[in-house]
Amino acid sequence: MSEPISELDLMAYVDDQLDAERRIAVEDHLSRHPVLAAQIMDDLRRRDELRLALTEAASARSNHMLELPAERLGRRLAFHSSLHRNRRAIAASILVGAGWFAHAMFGGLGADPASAAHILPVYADEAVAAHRTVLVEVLHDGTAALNLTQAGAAGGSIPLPHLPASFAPAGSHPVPSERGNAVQMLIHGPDEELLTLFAVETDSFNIEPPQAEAVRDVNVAYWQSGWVAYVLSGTADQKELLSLASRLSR
Amino acid sequence: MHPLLKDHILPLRRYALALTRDADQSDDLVQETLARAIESAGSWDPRRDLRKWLFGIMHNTHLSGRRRNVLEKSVAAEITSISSDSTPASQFQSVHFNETMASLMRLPEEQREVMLLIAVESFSYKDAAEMLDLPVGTVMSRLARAREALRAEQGTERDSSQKPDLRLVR
Repeated sequence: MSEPISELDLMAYVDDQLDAERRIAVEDHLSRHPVLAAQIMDDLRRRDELRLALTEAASARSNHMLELPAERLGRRLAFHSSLHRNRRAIAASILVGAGWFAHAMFGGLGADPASAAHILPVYADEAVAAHRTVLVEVLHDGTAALNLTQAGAAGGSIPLPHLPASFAPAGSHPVPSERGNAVQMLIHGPDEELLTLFAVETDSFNIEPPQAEAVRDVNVAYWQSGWVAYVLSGTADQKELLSLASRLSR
Repeated sequence: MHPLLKDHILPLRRYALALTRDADQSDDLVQETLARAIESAGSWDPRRDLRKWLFGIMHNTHLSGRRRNVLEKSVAAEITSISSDSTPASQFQSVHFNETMASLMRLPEEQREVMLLIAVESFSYKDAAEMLDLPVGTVMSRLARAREALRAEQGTERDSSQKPDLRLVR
């Protein structure tokens, strides 16, 4: 009924490339050909020995030098996969965006702002990714490694808010964003905690007061002022962050 | 270690060891691979297998490193015009290899590589072929030759007379 067992089948058997049905056929064949079976067992033993020996040699190496690049790579990949996910969300949110536009133009006719307001903007994800990256880098190398320019200088055309006296800027640097210009500012908050302020140009003019939300394990407060959207990220709880954000957004 | 990567570092290290046959060089290869991956993270499609993507980058990194090496060596040879009696250093000195591993390391690189990808890392023939940019048939024949060489080598060390070649099956 089944095809005769070929050399390719035996090879694929050793390499674990057969489906269950074919495996059974090969095993049946081997049970009737003990010399061949012994040779296959030998190949399997050699394969397992190789796996063990290489794993042992590989495990003996220290991962110390890999931690930072692996972390960086992980963040980038996570960032790209969230962008990927969000592309679909963006398509859906265009309708909501159109609603917002109508709302802005025609004084609140149409979309219900209360429900639309709960849709977290895509740039919040970018801001959180950038926030996490910077935390890791600061943890490893301090702020020196970030190549920060004086606060505000990296902003270029993006206006950064004027900081109240209790906030100490550590510097700013341009960060990747799908929508072009974005800048991240590192700030020491009133309690010395490290905050990041992400500012990005948007393609729609809007005025939105700060709202707080948790993006995975990072709390954010985001608002929009004209063409620029801002995301403040930090470890503070949402209420606290919201009050910091309202001081910044004034 | 970042959750996306923590399960991939050890396999990458194994691959790097098989490619370079030297512990220190394997460290460099893993690092360079990660650096290149960071640069091209934007080209990774999250629907694709991350491990395969990383292995592909390591393969290419190793290839270009070897080309660079060859170039550097020929340039150095010309500049210093030192006679060619510099012996190649024992390539496995920094890692302890058992007998099977030593036979793997004696295989030509093209066979060693497919053996590692398929037998050790369990990639499918198709994935390995895509990674190495080769037809599946080529990958399979390299693998068959690699196995044959390993068998032959161990066969001569043991009693080989009772072990027929895996050639003809009815």
